[in-house]
Amino acid sequence: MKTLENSSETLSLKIPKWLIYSFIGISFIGFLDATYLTAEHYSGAGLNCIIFTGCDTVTTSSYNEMLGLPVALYGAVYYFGILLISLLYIDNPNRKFVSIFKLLSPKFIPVYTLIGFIMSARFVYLMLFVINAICTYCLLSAITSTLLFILGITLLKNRFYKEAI
Amino acid sequence: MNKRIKFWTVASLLIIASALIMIKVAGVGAKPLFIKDGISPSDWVQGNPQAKVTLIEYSDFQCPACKVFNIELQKIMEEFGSHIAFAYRNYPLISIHKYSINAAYAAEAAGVQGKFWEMHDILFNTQEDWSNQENPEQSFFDYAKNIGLDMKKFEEDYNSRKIRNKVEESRSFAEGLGIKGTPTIFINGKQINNPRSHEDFRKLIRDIIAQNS
Repeated sequence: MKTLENSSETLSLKIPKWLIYSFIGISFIGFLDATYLTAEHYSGAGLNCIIFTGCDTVTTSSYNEMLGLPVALYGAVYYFGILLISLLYIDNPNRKFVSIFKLLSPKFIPVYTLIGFIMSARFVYLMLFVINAICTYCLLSAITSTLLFILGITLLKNRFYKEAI
Repeated sequence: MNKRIKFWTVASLLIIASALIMIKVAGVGAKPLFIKDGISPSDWVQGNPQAKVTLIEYSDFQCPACKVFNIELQKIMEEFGSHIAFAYRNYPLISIHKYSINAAYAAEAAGVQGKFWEMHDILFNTQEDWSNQENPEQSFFDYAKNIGLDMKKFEEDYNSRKIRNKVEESRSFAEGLGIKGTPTIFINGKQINNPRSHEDFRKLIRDIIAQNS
């Protein structure tokens, strides 16, 4: 049996077109949403109530930061990562990744989407039960990360994925 | 090869352009607004009215962010009150806070009897209570009673055209100025980014006081 490391160099993964384009579309939306939240964090615009969008009290709470950086920034990096992996796959499905770049192999997408989903679920829990406020853009991020997780499971169950692993 | 270059060029440009649009939408790099006139006689002022540093806040009594900001501002006023003239102006965001305008009437009506700030504090402190009521007017009248207002006079002023016009004028002025949310803060006529922490706020005020002394 091949190890994951070896297989990433020798066996290519065939991902259905609809699945890879779904990864691109959803991660792109998530990336834009997280970029907006990150920019809002640094501009201070999230610290008020806006005429049409209401009050994002979540973005003003202390839970909005992790290790000194806004949670949204981690989200932006995550979505960008999924987007980049998907684009790299479309560019060349048989690309061989070496050393640290193996982390950009689409084989790891299910793992990344699981992490994204757990982080997002934690934030939704905080919104509903600790901060007691809903942030529209955070909810959008929760939706995109959940969809990515579902797509990640779909990829995991794909027979080509099983064969490649 | 050309196809690949085209693919990566289009993808990169699309991602960068969309991200820049989102950053712009979030208000990064937005030019600050300015108020030409300083504090006016009709403003409610705390601190030192003669101070060189003026802080004008456009606020909404039903806005949770204004409540949080008010707590921070009170700490600042305790420390730097003798150097700052702080004016509160009503900007009820009626499209998202349906009772905010009535709360503004209550504060202005209390102000007629010299108790604007007492009502201001109660409205923020009890914001979550009255914001969730069917008819918070009764609560406003209870607060008026609790701070010892002449209730007949309060009711008269609360319903008066004069008070309603004052609140509406303040709201229209803010809207005309292009203020999109609350709290919006102007220091010496220039809009500032809302401070992210008490320390940021202290530093900002300290620096401005130093520049003006």
